[in-house]
Amino acid sequence: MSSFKKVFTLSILTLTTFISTPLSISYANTLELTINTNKQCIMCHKKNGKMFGIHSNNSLELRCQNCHREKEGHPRKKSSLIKFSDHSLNTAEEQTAVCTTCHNSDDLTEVDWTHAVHSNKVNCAKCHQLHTETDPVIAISTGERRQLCVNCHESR
Amino acid sequence: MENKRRLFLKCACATAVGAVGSTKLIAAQSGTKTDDTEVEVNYALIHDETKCIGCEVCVDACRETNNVPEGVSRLEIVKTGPFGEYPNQYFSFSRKSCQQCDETPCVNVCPTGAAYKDPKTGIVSVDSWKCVGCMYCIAACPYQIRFINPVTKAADKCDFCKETRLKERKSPACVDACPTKALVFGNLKDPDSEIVKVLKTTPNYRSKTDLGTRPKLFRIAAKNGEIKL
Amino acid sequence: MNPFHFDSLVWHWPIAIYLFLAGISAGAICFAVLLKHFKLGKNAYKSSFVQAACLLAPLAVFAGLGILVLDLTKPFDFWKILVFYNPTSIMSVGVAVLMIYQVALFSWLACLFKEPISNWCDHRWPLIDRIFNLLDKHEPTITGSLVMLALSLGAYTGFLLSALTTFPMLNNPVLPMLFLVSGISSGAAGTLLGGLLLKGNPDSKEVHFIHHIEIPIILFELVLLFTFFIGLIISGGQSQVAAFTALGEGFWGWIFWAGIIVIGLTLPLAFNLFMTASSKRKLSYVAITASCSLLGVLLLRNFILYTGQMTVA
Repeated sequence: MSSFKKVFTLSILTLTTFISTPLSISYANTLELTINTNKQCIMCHKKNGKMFGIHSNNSLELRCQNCHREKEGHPRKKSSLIKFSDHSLNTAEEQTAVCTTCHNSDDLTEVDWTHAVHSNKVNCAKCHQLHTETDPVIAISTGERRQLCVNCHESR
Repeated sequence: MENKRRLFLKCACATAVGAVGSTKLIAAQSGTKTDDTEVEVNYALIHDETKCIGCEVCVDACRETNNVPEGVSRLEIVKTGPFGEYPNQYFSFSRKSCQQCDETPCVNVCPTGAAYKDPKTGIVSVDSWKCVGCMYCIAACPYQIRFINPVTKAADKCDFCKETRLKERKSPACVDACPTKALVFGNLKDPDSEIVKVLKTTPNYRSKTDLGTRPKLFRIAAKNGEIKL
Repeated sequence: MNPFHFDSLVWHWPIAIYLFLAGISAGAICFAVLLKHFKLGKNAYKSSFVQAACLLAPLAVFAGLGILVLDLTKPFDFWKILVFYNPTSIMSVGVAVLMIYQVALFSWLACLFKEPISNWCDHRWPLIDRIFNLLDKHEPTITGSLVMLALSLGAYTGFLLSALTTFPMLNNPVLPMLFLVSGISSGAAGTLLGGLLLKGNPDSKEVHFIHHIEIPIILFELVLLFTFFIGLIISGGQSQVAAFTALGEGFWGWIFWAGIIVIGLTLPLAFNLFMTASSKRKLSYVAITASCSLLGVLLLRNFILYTGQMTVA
């Protein structure tokens, strides 16, 4: 190769490296949320455990254990892990208590009055999905919101 | 001169007597009109506040069925609360819609007769063609449930879906849509109807009965959480 | 609570203006009739005060009706109120009274101005002569019915509001009397002011006559206002709440005490008594008294309409 060609190729390669590396690092960073680097949980819960919602924001410095409690003997022995679901062994009150450690109940009532009446009767995960990138109930339309009421309260 | 004065006085008195006489005639006439022995159907509604969850699906159903424009509503659910302490809090819901009064202040004041009560059903409605929009009825309704429809520019209010579902022999849209069955609609003159059975067995109340309107929107009271003197 | 915008407000200031103008019309024509029958006789039409009253009566009633039509949500359908009637509706009865009142009004005006009109026509159209003769024959009837209709019109403005059971302050038996008396008072003031503008003599017997009637009317109006509010207060409940809301602190409280009681009633009363005692009837005194009186009645209409709608039963 001529010297010109050598220099040209080298400069192109250098430029590409210098531009793409930071890009790839930041791209990796968007996926590499600190919460998802939790080896204790993610090792097994690779598919259903990853968190992309607003609670995964690195500045919140949250770990899985903040909401789900410590691993202890899970899965082989007993543990006091909290499962957020209708089929959970934890009561609705216990599940809601986790969320209200940060979210003030009066503020929640201001945003949506139905928080006040469901607090210890229905678990938060019945309407809210935290692991997905967007929580579908946040920007819900009025009609769909009303249908949510009907779905549970229908007495037919 | 004397003759003229006498004539003036005679005519003035005659006019006065005539005015009084005609007023009495009118009063007598309207008295016989409210004789309801011939009416076989008198529709009414119960709002069970113990079952109402404030979801407002009734408001949406009404808007859709009766083409009520945005910004106004034939029906509102008034929410008061929260009462109690967290986590055991609750609200109280009250329906605000036409009471379909038996003694209608709105019909009495309408200058053109656009507001009328259908004697066959006991439902109070508005003839939007005759209505000129003087708003006398809106001021006269003590429950403040009448409004001017921004599309027809006439007065409008709940009419138990008289022009829509009732024509197809269906119950009003709100009654059908309610998920907790908090609304009961029926004919007060039918002793076997659900509404009569509920009214005779459950303690119920109506609003502002002291004004003499004889409303037909019955309410079953829920706990209120507040002691209001 | 904004004094002009609140939830329970249905009727706004155009209705207050209409009530004001209807009252002026009724009052003015009553004074024209009184002046003709007790002071001036056949030549009443020459007096500038009678002329002012005769101008004011039809103009005020037409302006009032015009405002009313414009205030409708369907103004082009106004003819329906003239065609369809409901005997239980005060508004409907009022419209009927208003129509007959206008007929009586113009008939009486024709009788009054028979001479100048006949002279102007110069017997060119025999039909007009026949009409005038017919009207002249029935002048006492026309006068009697006109006075009855004018008083009914004045009272109707109050009955219209008192039919509203929604508002305990308006649903009151004193209101029609209050509006009738204030309507007559405004008619007197309008006649005086109009007469002065038509270059009438402020020291004439018409002014003396009107002032003589005005003093008891103002006193009666004060008594009626007192009865009205005391009645509301002792009724208790929402009526009492309504009375205190209206008379208390705030924009409308000021309008009532400063505008209606002081400027609208006390000041004209004082001026009138002074003019009667000192017999000094200058143009400025009469004009100021009449203006204060008119302003007072206009403020009264607005005050009752707005504060009345503030408290719901």
